[in-house]
Amino acid sequence: MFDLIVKNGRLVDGSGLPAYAADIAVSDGRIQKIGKLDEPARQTVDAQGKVVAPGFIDPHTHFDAQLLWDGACKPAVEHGVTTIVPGNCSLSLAPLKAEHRNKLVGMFNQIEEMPQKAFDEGVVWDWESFPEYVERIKRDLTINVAPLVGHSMLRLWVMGDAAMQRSATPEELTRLQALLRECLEAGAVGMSTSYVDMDETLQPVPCRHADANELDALAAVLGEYGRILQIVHEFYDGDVSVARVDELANLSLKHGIPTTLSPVLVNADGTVVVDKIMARIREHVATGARVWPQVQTRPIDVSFSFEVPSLLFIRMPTWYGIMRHGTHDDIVRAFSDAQRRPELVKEAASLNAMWEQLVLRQVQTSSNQELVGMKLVDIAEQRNTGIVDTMIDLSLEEDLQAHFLFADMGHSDGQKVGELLADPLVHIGASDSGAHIMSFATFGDTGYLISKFVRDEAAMSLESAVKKITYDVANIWGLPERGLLQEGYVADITIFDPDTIDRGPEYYVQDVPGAGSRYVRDAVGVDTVIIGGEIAYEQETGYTASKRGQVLPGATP
Amino acid sequence: MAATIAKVRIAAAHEGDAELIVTVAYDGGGSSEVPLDRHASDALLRSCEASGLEELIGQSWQQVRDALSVSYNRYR
Repeated sequence: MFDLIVKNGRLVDGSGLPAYAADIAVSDGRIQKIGKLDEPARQTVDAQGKVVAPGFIDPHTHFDAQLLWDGACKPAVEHGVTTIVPGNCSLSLAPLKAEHRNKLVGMFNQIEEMPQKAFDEGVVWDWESFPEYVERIKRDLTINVAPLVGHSMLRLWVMGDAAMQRSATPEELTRLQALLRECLEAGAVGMSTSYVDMDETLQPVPCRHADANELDALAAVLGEYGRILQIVHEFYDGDVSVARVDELANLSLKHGIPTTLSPVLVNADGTVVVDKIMARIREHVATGARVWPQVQTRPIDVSFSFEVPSLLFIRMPTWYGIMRHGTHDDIVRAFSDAQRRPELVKEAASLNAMWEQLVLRQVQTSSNQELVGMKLVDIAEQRNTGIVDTMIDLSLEEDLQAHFLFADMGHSDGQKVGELLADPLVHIGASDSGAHIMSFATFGDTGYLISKFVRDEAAMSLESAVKKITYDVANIWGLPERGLLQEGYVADITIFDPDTIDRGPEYYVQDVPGAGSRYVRDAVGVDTVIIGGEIAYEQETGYTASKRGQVLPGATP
Repeated sequence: MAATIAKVRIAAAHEGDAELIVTVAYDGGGSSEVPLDRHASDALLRSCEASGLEELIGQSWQQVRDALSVSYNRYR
């Protein structure tokens, strides 16, 4: 008797090959049999009308802190994600000496918007080394974790405060290499570094003080294990990004390692930059280098309130002047002035096309709560006034704490992004899940991939899309026995409705330790998620008590 | 070196804020795009005594460099 059978589903097995009808039998956490099965099982899942796929793998997350109080990294699992990679961008929670905890919390607060209170109330600091950290998170895992070790953390451990001032000495370099080996032996899937991130004092994070020799020496250690190097490149600068691609290609060829850079974005007139990066990657891949650009599926939304002067207002000199130079009371006074209102509304009229797209995103009064999520144009109609007047009125009613959203402002050229995502040399990732928690929701990129780029844009087949977020990720990151529906492989399985799978609307929720809040999105169309052979989530009943998640060490060739 | 600002546009930054993208054109015919956050943009407008984006066109690259420094060093 099997532990579990998934019956009547259409298998999209992660290989990219055409879907086929079959049942899957699972026992001892692994896929035992695929075919037409009539044998008994303790539990049966009817997948009639649904697609059965390998669990999705998210290669770029910052769930490091959340993992300490939520082993399911909610809501990742309900979106079909069964494995996450935390520790990106040079920041991991280990190795970490007690004296550097405040520094780390500051960096997480600055870069990932994880509040100090969440650490104070959600984290028991009972580890220092990477092996101790792995043991710590293993206690309560629903989701699988393939952790990166952060270059900044290696430097802090070995160099102390000097990590934030200079490159490593030869003696320190030897110790950095030894420490990286210890982390890789304990289960780190690779190392992350950054050329971009700033710490809580707006100074470069420790890894940015490393020289090329140091990165080369650490890449040599990664080469001993065949593990991956992740970098955050200067993504806002096309020419420097191309130079980073060259650097990664050299390290990949010299040390025999896979490398990945994130994020690569398509902006309104930035397609030339993307084309340059991809052209250079094609050249390097042809020589045998492994350089994977990570491209996110979701567009970039921009949000603002009247409290902080957004550059969206820069084409309106009177408005921008009020917001830029005024105190909170000055701003309230200026926009409350009935005599000034016509002048302000007139100046804003030139950007009416933008205001018409705005959505009311967040308010603090209960009286306006029901308007959240509505387009400003509809609220204006309801109130029988103009759009700009409505924006001003809502801001005043909310004491400037009305937040507005301009959706799809960047990375939003559906055709171009679709072509990029479908490119065999592009790695779908860069979700940043678990980061920027108070700015926007980072969840549901996999559902969005299928709804937008399979159903709407027809940029790729469902089989290709599933391969991109399952087998390809497992292959790039060296995660053995994951990413395929294959007999003998670990039973990480996502069952979804191909006609409805999507990301739900963004909303604000107070579920972060220390009474903190964050933006999240619910999943749409994800029916059942199986991790390690047990049902971890069902659409109808929610999360189960299953704790079959594992820390996945990278494969060593 | 007489590189000057040739174009200015507003774009969406990775972190969900609006940013200013300044195109600097060089004598030799090349150009670079430089993203400025809110603080750097404020500094650029102030140092160029500009009240609107159009007034930034033709300004020296050095103004852009100095504006970036203002943002970068604002907590020092």
